[in-house]
Amino acid sequence: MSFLKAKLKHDHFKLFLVVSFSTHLLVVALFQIGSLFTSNEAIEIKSAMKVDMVALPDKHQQKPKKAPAKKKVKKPKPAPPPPKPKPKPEPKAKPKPEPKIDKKAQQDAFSKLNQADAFSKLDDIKEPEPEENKESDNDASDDKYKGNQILDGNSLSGLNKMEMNAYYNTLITQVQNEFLAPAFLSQKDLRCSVIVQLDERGYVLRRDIESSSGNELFDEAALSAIDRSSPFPTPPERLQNTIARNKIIFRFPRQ
Amino acid sequence: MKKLSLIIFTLFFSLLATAQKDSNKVYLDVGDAKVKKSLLAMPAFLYFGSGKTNSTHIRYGTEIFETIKQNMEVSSYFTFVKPDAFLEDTSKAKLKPKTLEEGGFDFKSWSAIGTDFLIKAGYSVSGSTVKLEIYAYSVKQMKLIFGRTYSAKASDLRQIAHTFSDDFIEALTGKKGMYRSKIAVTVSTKAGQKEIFVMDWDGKNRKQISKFKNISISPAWSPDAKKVAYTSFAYHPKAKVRNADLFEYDLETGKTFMISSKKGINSGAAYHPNGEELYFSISENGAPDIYIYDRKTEKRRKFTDGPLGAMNVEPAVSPDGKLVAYSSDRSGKQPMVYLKKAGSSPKAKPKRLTFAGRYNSTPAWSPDGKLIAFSGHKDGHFDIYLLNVETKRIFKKLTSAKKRVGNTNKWANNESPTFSPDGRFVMFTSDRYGPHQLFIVDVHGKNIERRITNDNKNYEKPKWSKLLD
Repeated sequence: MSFLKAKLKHDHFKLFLVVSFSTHLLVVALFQIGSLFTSNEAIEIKSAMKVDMVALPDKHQQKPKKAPAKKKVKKPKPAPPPPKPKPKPEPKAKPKPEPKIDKKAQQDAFSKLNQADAFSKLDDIKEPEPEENKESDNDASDDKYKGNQILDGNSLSGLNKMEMNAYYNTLITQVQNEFLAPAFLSQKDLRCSVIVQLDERGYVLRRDIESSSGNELFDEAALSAIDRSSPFPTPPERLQNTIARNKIIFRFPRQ
Repeated sequence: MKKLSLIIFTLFFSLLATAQKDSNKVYLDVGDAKVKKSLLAMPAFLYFGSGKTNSTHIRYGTEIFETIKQNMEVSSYFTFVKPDAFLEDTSKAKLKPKTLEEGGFDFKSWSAIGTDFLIKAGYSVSGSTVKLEIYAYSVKQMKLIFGRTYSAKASDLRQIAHTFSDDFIEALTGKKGMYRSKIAVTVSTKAGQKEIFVMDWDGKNRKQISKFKNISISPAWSPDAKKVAYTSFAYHPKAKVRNADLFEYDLETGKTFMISSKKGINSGAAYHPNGEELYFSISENGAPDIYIYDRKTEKRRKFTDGPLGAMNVEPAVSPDGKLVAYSSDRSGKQPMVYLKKAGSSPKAKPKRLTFAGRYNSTPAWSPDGKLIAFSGHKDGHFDIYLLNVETKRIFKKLTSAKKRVGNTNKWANNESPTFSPDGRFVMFTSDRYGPHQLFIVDVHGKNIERRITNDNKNYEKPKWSKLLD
């Protein structure tokens, strides 16, 4: 009986199959297109609860004299996940007022410079860099209570991201140690970037100058730094695929 | 139906293909590079003279060679390859690579020993003119950086060396060198006599410019480096007295003009970059104040006014002509460094720059106007310190030396700083060997000091000119 039914409805059934298959195909297509716009991170199922800490910034004990607190201008930091609107407020940079001379700080610095063996200590004393992203030195005498670090908000997978950043930091350290540039280029403002492709084991597959500094010898110093750093340490297993797919761009600033 | 299936399957597989997303870009910022010196090889210059070896001519070549070598060592950019490491016979190999010249040199014989840069030269002498044909190569890139022929009178042959040195440094760094700059300085000649001399940065080629045969002090360069102002205790026959007058010597004409002879001491001159004004201190009845002398109107007006008998001396005008740094004891205690707007009224209150140490004086501006070097007194001796003009921080101590003669437990006095025109060096005087001698120290590096003068004369208040090219 059911067999007869089947035969009678044969054509209908065929139609049904085609429609069913097409619909399934459509659903798959929708998911595929959808995946083009989302991250390709593996979805980790953990039993632990994931919490993002948004903590207190640095606390300054203001002294009676006026010392305008300069806020840090946030450096743009592109990260592997695609740009999701981040709810973090960006502090605006105030127009810089003229720094008041801190007598005590100057006297302390003067005494410090005069300690026995001043020469060896001079290696540590660096020239102050142009004041763009640093806090005002006037706060040196104010009491500072260091707040927690503010994390980057609710990115896709916090633990994975931390591990990724840790791995990238080891890459930076390795390249930094091998980065040697000739002394006669040290006064020039040279910048270049090198695009690097790693495989899952941390070996450098390709490295090319993405943007040149304009100086052949400086570019070469950057490429040498990459070459001498290879092979990099093997990335943690669950990140291997992502790292192999990423294009890493090392930016070499001036000396 | 089949067509539809075909379309569906094509769609399906093409979608699978797009499942592979575009890879992400990750930006990693590396910090500053570690610095290394480049290896420079400079084989002895070839003598293109006629068969006979003329010892004078050989001396010329050697002097040019040694001057270039010293310049390159002072730059702190290079380490020289020792001649016994050379692979090629440099007395035979010609100046150009063998691909360009028969018997030329092979880049490989230089890259094999790790050479970064190669300088090859040959010279000839005809009459009193010396001609140098010199080539600078980048061994790594196997190419010529530049090749040039320099010629000068034998009496000027160090100029050849300094000019090449500046050209080479400029070709490599993109910035001008400092080798063709001059120093104006007071030198004690005989007992009780001091004269002003102008010399090359390395202390050679001296020329006396003061002629009063007494005490001449505190020289200053005009911005175009064509004139030198200085103070001399000139004798006034009518008044039958000596007075410390301010003079200006013209290097081109050799003439001397008097600028100021107010009773007392007229000294510590400093030109404004516009070349029209001269700042200097006058002490009529004791405490000196700084005055501005206008060369066009030949008039003088006050720049500082005490207060209350304070001493205001040693003006130094910033390279952009907007500010004047000077030393003053207006705080009531020891002299400190102050800052005031150029041309401002004597009533305008200056800004105090230094609060540390016991006696801060002789401020000097770096050519980019970002730093002030001064000599500061602490623990019984003077040393040179660097102050960042923007942050007002004293961030570096440039000198520190124990005495090498006499009581070697005592610290030497290092005073009167002046910057090189490229801002990389500061010249100062030091008494570590007894008499005050000239030294230089690098500003941005590891405080490597070099002795410039080596005699038993006393040198005071050196001033470094701009680059003369």
